[in-house]
Amino acid sequence: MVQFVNEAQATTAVDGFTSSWLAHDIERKATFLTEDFVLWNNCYRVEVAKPVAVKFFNWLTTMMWDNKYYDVRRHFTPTGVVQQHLTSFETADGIYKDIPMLLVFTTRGEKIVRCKEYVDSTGLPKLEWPEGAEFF
Amino acid sequence: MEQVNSPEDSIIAVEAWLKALAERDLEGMKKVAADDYIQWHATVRKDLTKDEEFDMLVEGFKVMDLTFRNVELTPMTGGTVLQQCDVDITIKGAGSREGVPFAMVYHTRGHQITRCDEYMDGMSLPPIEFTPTD
Repeated sequence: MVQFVNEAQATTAVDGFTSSWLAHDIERKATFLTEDFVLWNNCYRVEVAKPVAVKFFNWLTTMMWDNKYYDVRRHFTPTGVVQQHLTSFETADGIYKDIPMLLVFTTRGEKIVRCKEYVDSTGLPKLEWPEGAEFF
Repeated sequence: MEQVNSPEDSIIAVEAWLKALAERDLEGMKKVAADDYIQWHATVRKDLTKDEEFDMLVEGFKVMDLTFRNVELTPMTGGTVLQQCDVDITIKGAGSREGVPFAMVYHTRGHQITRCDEYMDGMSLPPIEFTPTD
């Protein structure tokens, strides 16, 4: 029998993570990450631990703004939440919109342990990963 | 009201789909795909009907070899299943890429699949000439 995650706790974790990002409040976002948090990205085949991820999130706020998520769909798993959405944002080079993203969250209580990002980087700005990022 | 698939039935549907795909068994895949099946690819970004998807697969299988590795299936609420895997992909005349991360969200009904949303980085793939355009 499959046992799914506690939906209320997992939702608190994911809502905290995503709403903090959309508000560019990285200090608050960090409070929703466990100490052993890992960020994973498919395009760069990279994994980063919490301190590097926080640096990366702060850098992102300097190169993109007016971030939005829409057409959000969520599913609960035994270990967390899967979120599908479209995103839009603005950079110095212009506006990007309707970018599909899949986020696979592993949660522990009301915090995020792991976030795996799947995105198609075609036409998107190049991202710079801080020192400490591990490419695989 | 339609009954939501159990996680066990959802996984059976996806495993049948993957078995047929690994064997390049288009007829087997058609049996697992419901008549109202919808396929969505991150690189195409439109809903393809069952006929449109299989037309593309027919063309794709003529030139494309796929090997799925590290396949991880995760049951989700609502009769959905997450697949994460690495794909080795070779397209005749266009090149090869190894270990491209893919993720799929499947919706199921009984032992059939009704929808597949497929996420990958288009920049990680060899150039593909057989995807439909508007």
